[in-house]
Amino acid sequence: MKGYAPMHQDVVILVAEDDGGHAGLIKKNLARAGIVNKVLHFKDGQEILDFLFRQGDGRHHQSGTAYVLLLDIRMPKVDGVQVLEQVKADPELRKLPVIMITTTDDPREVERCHALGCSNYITKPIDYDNFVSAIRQLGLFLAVVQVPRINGEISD
Amino acid sequence: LQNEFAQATGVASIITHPDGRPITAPSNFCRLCRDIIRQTDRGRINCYESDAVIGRGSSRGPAIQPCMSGGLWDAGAGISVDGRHVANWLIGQVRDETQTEDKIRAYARQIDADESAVVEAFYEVPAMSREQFENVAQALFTLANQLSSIAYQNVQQARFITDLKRAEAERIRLNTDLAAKNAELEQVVYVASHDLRSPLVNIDGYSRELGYALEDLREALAGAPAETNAALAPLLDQDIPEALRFIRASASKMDTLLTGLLRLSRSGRATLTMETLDMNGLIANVINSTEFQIKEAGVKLEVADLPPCHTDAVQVNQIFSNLVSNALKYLDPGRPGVIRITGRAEEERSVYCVEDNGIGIVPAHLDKIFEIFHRLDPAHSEGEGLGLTIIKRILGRLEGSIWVESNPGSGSRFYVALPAGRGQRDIE
Repeated sequence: MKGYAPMHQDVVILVAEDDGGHAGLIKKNLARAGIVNKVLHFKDGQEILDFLFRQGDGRHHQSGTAYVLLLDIRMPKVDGVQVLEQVKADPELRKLPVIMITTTDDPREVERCHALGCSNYITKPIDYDNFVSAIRQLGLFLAVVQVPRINGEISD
Repeated sequence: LQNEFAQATGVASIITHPDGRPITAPSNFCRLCRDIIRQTDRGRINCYESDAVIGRGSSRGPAIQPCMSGGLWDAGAGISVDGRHVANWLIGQVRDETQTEDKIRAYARQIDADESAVVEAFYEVPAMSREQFENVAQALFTLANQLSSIAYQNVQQARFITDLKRAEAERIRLNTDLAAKNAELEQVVYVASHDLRSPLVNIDGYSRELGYALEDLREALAGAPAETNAALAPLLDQDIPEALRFIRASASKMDTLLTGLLRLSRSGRATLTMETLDMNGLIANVINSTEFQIKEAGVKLEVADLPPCHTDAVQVNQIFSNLVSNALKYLDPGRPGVIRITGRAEEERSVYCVEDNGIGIVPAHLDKIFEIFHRLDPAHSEGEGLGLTIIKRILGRLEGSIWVESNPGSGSRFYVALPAGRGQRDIE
């Protein structure tokens, strides 16, 4: 199990979501589902890429911290699929679990994201109860999944 | 052809432009014309002029006259394509008693040619009777006319082929345009429904959050004075919950419509697998999957023996599931429901009918029911108003059709026509 941490409170949840309302709902419902991990919000694809690839002046990811990424597809500047592509093309970042959370259940889009290597795909439902259960499933998923740390901590 | 003709008849031959300039190399030319007269400037100009005049052609017969250059007998016929004079076919360079040494000597002086060489070459020119030459000229005329008509046919054929190619190119272009337009429309529907759903997530999500906040507020107010509670009760128990209910119901309705739009745009994308379909088996499947609703509604279902058709099983299953579920939806509560499924084979198609004894459709609504999002009785039935729209679209892809007959108050008959099973005509 070296290099892998079970889902502890120190796993940071990254939310890349251009709609502040959606991000707020995701946070509230994670909390309601009993997930109390730290949540960082990024308002477009470029911000999350800068964070992950340590570019620009903003926040950068920390070595030794485990992350999961909740990624919206339609975002300005760089969209979610492009972010997913770049993350999965990087030898270190590719270990980061990525969960697509988006409004479309278009089979072609779902298939494309799975082909690119996303860990899970959740459609944002309008029906609030479904939304909560999707978030609960996500909480369950986060609790069960083994989250690899990025950078240095993975290799022996 | 020019060569062979010259060899066979023993005359010289050449094909020229209408103005007399040569197109082909000369065949069987005599030395007099080839090496002497045409080598002088004056002589060559005279030859071309003569060829232009003699070759002008007429529809009646060959032109036969002494050459306007050396004076030997020549004949010519015009070759025209589609009414346009494109070439002269000339033969000749023969002599009879009308050409004399004196005349040729005079011509030699006129064009500055060596007189003795001209006379020597003149006697090499084949002699031919006038009658024989006329026969040869007549053969030339017939051949030239044949060539003209063949050339015309070739031109016509080339034009026809060009037209065909142009029409084909146009067809391909239109098809490409259409495919692009379709793709664009699907993209618009996709983007619109995605982008429109996004705000709905917030509208519904935060309405629910307000509901939670309202409950918290009520708990917090539990210990407050009775008159405060009495004053706030209409707001907390009635106005706010009612507002939230309407907001959430509308968001949900909007979501249903958007999902329907997406479903419609996707229905044009499914891959079709055409096969000869046993419709008895397919309808049995459809009925199995709606058995619960049929029993619950207490409906009597009658299915006749159905002819096969040649189509896609998945799509046709959807069509009949939809029609049966529509029939169940619009039954008349005042009498026991009866749904009847029948079919008949026609020459090239099979026609099926789903008949009910439900509420029926008034004539004014008959052509509206296939319109997108149209619903007959929104208050008393479920659904998004897309079923018949999608059926019509599917049938368009399957080269089938749908129409409806209805008597308001006594029921409706939905007819579905699909291409007949292959071999059906052989059986009949």
